[in-house]
Amino acid sequence: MNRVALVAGGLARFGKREASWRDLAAEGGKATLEDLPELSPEKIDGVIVATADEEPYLAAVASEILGIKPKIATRVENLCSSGGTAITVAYSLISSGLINKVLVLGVEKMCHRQTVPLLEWDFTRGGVLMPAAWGAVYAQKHMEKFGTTEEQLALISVKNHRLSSMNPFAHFQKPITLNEVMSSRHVVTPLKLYDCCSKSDGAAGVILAGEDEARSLTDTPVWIKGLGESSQGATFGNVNPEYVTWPCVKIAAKEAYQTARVEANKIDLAMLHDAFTINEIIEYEDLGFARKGEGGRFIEQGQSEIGGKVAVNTHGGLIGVGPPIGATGVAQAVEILAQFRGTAGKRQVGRVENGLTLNLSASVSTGNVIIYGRNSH
Amino acid sequence: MVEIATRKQPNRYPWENKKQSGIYRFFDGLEKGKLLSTKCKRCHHFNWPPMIVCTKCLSDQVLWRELPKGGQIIAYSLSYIGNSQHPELICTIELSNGLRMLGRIIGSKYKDLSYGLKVTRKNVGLVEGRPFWTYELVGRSKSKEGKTVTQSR
Ligand SMILES: [Zn+2]
Repeated sequence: MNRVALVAGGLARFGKREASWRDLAAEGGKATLEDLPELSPEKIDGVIVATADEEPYLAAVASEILGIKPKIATRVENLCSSGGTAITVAYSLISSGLINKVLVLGVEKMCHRQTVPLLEWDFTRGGVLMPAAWGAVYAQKHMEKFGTTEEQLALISVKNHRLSSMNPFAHFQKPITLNEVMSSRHVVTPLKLYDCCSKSDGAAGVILAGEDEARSLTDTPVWIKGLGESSQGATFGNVNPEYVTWPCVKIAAKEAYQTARVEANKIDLAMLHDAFTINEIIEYEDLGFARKGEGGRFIEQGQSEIGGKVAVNTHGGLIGVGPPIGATGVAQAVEILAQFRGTAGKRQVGRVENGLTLNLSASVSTGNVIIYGRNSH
Repeated sequence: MVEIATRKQPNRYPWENKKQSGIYRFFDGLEKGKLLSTKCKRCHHFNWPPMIVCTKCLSDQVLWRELPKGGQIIAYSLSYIGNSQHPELICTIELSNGLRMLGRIIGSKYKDLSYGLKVTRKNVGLVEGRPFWTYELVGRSKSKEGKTVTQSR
């Protein structure tokens, strides 16, 4: 099987943008292509677009905008995990040998909407359609069972805002204090304003290449060592019966660790899916960074800070950088690439050996885990 | 902050239309104040949300049955989204047969609630064409709001 590496990455700034879907695709695509001048666009033979936009045929539209005539242009839509799934699909197209230089471009326009028709299909929510409703459920159960505190949740937001303030592409550019998080207004109790990700426009792109191409194109390829994905259903009522542990994360992680032949304690960098602060805490546990129930203490002890056991969400996470749906998972890979290259500036985590991304959808029903490394095997 | 509510997709074919949707009875039931789903004739699995083919045995012989009215509170919150002055009480309910759902609680204050309290389903209906239901604590005096909610679809 052909090995696959990240060879380029680029972003269109996340935030409230006065730009169309096409503008963002052009901006993010241009940044990605210009990150690897050795590869001219006509050599790209696959374009996979990750987006939850309603418009059809967006992979062909994006390819045309960027002057690419790929063999395969297609789209992946998996709500918030569209990006991780798109990278997984690109990986399999390359490792099969069908194509070998693929642009994965995540693009989303969210801010123009007062309301978004993204969750009407979930009848089990009884019209309670705001995502913070499920975030609040998982937070309550974790607090009830393990004594996790609102301060521990708030520390996630403080960390991720501090990191996003060092990321020029992030939506939120200012650090915030523990007190500011704790005194922010309630959204859905116990979650407050700064416990929740916002909505953002944005785009993120990566180029993936097969082994020979990757080595000839760049001195710093970042290899995909293992992947796992699990879809446990779609509706809130049918997933996560234990609330405080998430099967799709555990299954995807187990598969990724096994295929990568890497254990959780060897991961030194991780981009996690912090739609809400509680997510990051449960994810520390379900990914094996912390024991079950100890995620709150993990952040309290600074274990997920730069310099801790594993640096988590160095780009700022969804809370700091913003959550433009299809771009979210791709932006995680862009940060992984920057950290491996050592170009993450003030957010740089020493030398990284093993990086992990976790991308989730809809009340944590689908989970995608990808493990990246410095060596191809 | 996340404020992803929904709007009706103008071009969506109607899930509630008898000619175009196998689960129109779900919407029909809601309009009549009943929360229905499908129970498999062959393996007796109670499918939730409603499915026209059983998710356990793939039988297409399913019966429309009302979900148990009673259940218990798993989680509850005050939601300030869309109404910062008058937050609404939202909840996760586990029904007596183990099925789970989100919903709203009426007739009680936040401080009266706790995990595991017994509730019963009160209002069921469609609001702007979307499923909607409420629960109230068992043993509460009858709520004045306790009637079928049906608004424009
Ligand atoms: Zn059956």
